[in-house]
Amino acid sequence: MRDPRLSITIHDVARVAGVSIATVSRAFNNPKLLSAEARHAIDQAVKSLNYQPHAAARRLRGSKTNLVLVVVPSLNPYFLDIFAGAEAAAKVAGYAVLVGHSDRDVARERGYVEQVAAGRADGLILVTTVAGYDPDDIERMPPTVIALDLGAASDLPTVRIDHFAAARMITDYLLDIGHRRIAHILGAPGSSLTSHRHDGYMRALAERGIAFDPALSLPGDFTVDGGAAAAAAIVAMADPPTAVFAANDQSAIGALQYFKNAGWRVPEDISVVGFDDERLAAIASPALSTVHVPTYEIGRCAMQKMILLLSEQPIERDMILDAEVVVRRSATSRQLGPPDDAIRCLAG
Amino acid sequence: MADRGSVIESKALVRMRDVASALGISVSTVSRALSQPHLVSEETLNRVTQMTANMRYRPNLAARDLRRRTTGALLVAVPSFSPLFLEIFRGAEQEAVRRGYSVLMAHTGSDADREHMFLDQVLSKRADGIVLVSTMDLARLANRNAGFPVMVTALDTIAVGAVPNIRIDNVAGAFAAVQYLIDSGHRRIAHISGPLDQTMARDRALGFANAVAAAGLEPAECPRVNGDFSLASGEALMARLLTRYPRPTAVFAANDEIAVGALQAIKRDNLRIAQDISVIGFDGLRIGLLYDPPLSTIGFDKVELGRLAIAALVASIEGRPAEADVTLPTSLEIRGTTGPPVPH
Repeated sequence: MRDPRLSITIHDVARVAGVSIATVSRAFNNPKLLSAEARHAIDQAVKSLNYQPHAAARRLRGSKTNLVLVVVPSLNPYFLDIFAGAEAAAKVAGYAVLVGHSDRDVARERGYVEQVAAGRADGLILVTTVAGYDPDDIERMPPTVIALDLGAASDLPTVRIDHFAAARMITDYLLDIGHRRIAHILGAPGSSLTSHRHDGYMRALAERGIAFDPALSLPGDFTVDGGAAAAAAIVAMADPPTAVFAANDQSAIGALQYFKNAGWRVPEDISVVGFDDERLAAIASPALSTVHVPTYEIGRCAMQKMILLLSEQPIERDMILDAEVVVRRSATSRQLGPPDDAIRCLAG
Repeated sequence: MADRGSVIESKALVRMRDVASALGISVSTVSRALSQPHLVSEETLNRVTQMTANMRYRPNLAARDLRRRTTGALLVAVPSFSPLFLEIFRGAEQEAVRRGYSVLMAHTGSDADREHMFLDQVLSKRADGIVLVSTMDLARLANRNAGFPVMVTALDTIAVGAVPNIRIDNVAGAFAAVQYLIDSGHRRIAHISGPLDQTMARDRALGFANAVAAAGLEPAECPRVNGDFSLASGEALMARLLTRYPRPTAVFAANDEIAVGALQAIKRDNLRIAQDISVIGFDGLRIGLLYDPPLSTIGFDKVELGRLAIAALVASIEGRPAEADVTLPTSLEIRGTTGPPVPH
């Protein structure tokens, strides 16, 4: 399927329209300078030849693509909700959006940065970042906004929630309903989400004077399987915790399922809470208590910031949106009875 | 170190020529080290790699694209971020990376104009080719005036001209799901369809109608209600079906998301799943597998579908013959949401 139109150039258009190459070029870049007849002749020639201006050639001249690339760390509906918000804001401003998947790989993330820097898109939204960017990198980066969490790239414009404060909030919730031995299932190694959420958990325990027990911080990777593996380790413990805070909903649901299959009742035998409030949380049985992250809004604000950046207007560098604890059915205290569905506390 | 400092301070674009002169070697040696490293000595390669990193040399991709008339990038256009399309993208990505291409996902939002806009982007060489997953409007695509980029369609019912199409048989899959319910003894079977402007939804509704007709069931007791492939539509329409008298004993949902929504409505009414009402979905998604009880469904290999689509696309780009029409099999996956009807 080699495309014959590849060989059609501006020269052919000029010849068919009976005008000079300079006139054709002007018709594309500054049509107001041409007479109506010349514009019409060139339009006709472009249509009859099916001429497509060459994007790479236009980029070399530094023109805009009206494309913004959004890079997500995994192909999870949760991250794509951020994309949906970005897309809605982009549409209003006449931009199209493409998704790149970094798979939390530094080389792949940097590859996308290079592609945008080389002009394949006008701007870049990184939904979290795994690569560190020093000030010199940042100097050379294309217009970039970090969404969800800033990671190591602290000098770039950001739209996020305070993951530390929100993790502390949901750990506080477990402490408030009477739990004292609380395990944490960690996120994927290397992600800033992992360290911020773990730090929030540790701070909440410390504030109640509960000694941090490293045996209760179990390795995970933000996946259902990782959550199940951590639950297996908990089931095998001689002195198991009474509650588990998983670093995201996927691992919470993996743990929940493992406990049920092992004959443990959730929440009567063990309480489980997550983080993210992705779609699965509400339909899990029991429905999962978790931290709601305003993903769509994060994406929308990140794109609005990008549009301001591209038009060289001033922006708020670091924007922090509110997260909240959502209490459903997966956590309880044996003393206090089942939780009230309606309680929603504000975090952040 | 003095060299390095001066380069960084200048902030000027570092060219291949600058790397070569800093090393005291020719531009063509640097070029060879970067693009065909097996042609240079290990020592040269190390020196070039070190220096490009120190000087923060970045190849000018736009210039390279123009020279090579290729970008090394592929687009996969999906109508939504449903897990179904994400699974297909996952397969597409695996195959693209294996073949040395990068791949970006384009979201059409079920909007035919946006779909054509992405085709235009590929025509103007922002990418080398495109996979269209579940096209919005086949007739409009076939009659497109602007010409076609190198492309492959996936999950479409029919191929557009000579464009390779990797698909499944939606009619046969739906027929098998409904036939299974009939074989289990159900006589009142409802269908919650997808949006009927999409061929995938129409084909699944057709498979349902064919199976109902072939078994001679009473059409009035086998109603079809029209959803939009979303969980919310499944929940709302199931709530409505539950108020019918006599109530259907089984439901064929046009996809797993509708099915999960339907199961939520059944649970809310305190009816027993599989005893009071059986539900079967389509697609074999993880959301169904993770549901309690796990969802019975019609499954197929989504990752393989994505891989085959990219394999066909890359073959077209590289001028090799591609298989034009591939149909992957579907399979009946019976889990916990279906059973024989229980008499009252």
